[in-house]
Amino acid sequence: MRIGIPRALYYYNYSPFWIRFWETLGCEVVLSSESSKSIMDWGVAHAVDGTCLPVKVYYGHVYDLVTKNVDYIFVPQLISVWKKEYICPKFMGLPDMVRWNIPNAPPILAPVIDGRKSGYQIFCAYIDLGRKFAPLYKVLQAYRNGLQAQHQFEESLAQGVPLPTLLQGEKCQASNTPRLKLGLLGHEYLIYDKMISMGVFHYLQAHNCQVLTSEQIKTSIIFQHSSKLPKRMFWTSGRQILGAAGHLCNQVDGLISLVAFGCGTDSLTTDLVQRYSRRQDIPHLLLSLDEHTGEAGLITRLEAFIDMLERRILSEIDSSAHGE
Amino acid sequence: MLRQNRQVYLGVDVGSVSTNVAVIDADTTEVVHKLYLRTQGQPIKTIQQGMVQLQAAGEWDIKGVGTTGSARQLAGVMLGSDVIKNEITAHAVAATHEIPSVRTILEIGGQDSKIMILQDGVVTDFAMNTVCAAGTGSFLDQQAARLNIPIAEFGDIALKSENPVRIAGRCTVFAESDMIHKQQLGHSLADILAGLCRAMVRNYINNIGKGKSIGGPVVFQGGVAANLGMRRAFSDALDLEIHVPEHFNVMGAIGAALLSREFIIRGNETKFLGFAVTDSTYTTVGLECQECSNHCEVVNILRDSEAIAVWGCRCGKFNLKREVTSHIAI
Repeated sequence: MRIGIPRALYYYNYSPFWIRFWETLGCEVVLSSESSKSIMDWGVAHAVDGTCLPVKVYYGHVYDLVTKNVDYIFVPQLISVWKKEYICPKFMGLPDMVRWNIPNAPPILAPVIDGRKSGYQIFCAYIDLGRKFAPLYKVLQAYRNGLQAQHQFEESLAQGVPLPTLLQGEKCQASNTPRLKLGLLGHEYLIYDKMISMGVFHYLQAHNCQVLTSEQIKTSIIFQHSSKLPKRMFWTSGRQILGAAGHLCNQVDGLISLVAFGCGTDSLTTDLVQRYSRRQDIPHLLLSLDEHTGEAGLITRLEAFIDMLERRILSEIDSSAHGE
Repeated sequence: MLRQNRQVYLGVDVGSVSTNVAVIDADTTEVVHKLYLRTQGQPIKTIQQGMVQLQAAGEWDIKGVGTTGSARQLAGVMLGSDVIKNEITAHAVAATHEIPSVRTILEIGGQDSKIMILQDGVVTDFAMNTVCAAGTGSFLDQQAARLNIPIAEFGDIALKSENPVRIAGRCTVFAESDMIHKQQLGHSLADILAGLCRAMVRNYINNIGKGKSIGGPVVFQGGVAANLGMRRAFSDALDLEIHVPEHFNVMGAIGAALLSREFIIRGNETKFLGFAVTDSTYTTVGLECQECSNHCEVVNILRDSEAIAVWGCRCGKFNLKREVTSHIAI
């Protein structure tokens, strides 16, 4: 049995679980190719207007799997992965959008992942899903193995292993003597999709900057900072970004927010991140991405931002050397 | 003005609309020569033309070269520049050189607008217009052409206004229909032009300057700073005195020249290729690579059929190896 998993959106967060789960059940997991111009073009042409670019690109990935002759495509209906929190509503609609907009698609496997009340519902959803393919004892084992893989993945992230290294085995050479320490805030599916983000993460690393991202921060620390808000942030990804911003503000030279044009949660969180950074006097750069974003404009902004931070540090050294 | 073999630094700013060249004295950093050319979509030709004009203007002993602007890489490989810097840094360097205590730099060029906030001579915050080019020089250009007035007179006419009309400045398309509406109601040309300047300034402050603390001294530069109406609209809106540097339209080039001076003074050798650029023929060969699904648009720059630079390739397989000097078959 060949199960296709699109290499987009929450692939960057939960694929270790998904892959191990299906493999334990004895299925072959087929990932879509890495995002490319043709995947993006197909997605943009077929997706519903008004969705953000990552969702459009998701369509392209599903289509890529259609051409790879898989038996099923795994498109979980993600509603909530954390108690009393939600995931962006567009994720909720993904299975339906995909079903009705992509011609000749094989059957879609769409378990309802709704952990608003408790994690038990999530467990049940996967058990029900797995029972179609294997006996119960096997499914329970698959679920356990999946969790184990996921824990391992999150553990490695917390230890500072870059996400592209863990997921795609890519070498990310972090410099031993970085000239700048930067916080890069954004959804993982934006930052690590080299097509959408135009390689911002790799660009910063190649330019000798240490890049700190939100998924490397322990959940307890994220909560410690996000709980300072007067009202609960009930979007999981928004809570993650805000908590990370609060944590990183004290320890980086600059913050970069990577947002998708038209993203609802980002429009709220980015404004708060801007306020945090202003309060801490940390320069903040907002990069908003869309399908027609030119690479040149992005590079100019990054270059100028790095220049500015370096000159700022140099002048601080200068003034303290003169016995301020 | 021009002495024989004056020791100078050269700065070249190749932007989408104009190509600016500035020559600064090696010792005093005073601007001794400047050129303002229209790029007209042909950066290579314009750079060559600029060098021809520069050569004709005097005998120069060029100690170093800096390039900036959106075609900075191209200009950099053509001239053999020592410093290739983005335009934000270049503009900030030039403005702080002019007024060391500057706190805010407003810069409006042909296709882009920026704001830079400085503290003790260091940029602490900046913003650039995002995807939309509304409220930049080319819009003023277009509207002047539509009203059949030379862009050079735009500002003077706007200054005569006593009662500027209100025009929607958020989007160029709306601004234009608003202007036509006001014009058909019989408002005077001066009032409409002054209203347009106000709308552009409002848009700039709400968009680019959103959340930034704009404090004086304020420097206003870029091609649009020539427009007296825009200067007045800015000083009205900000309630601050607006300084326009003498060489406001070539500030990027001056910044690039200053940066190259800094670089050479630190003890580096210049890589400047001399005025040879005027004799060589530059061609570009472009292709859309079909090897993978990225379909990269690769551009190869040739000097007299010798490949000097390649860009646009994601995987790096076309990237020029230093030892390759002859044709690269692509």
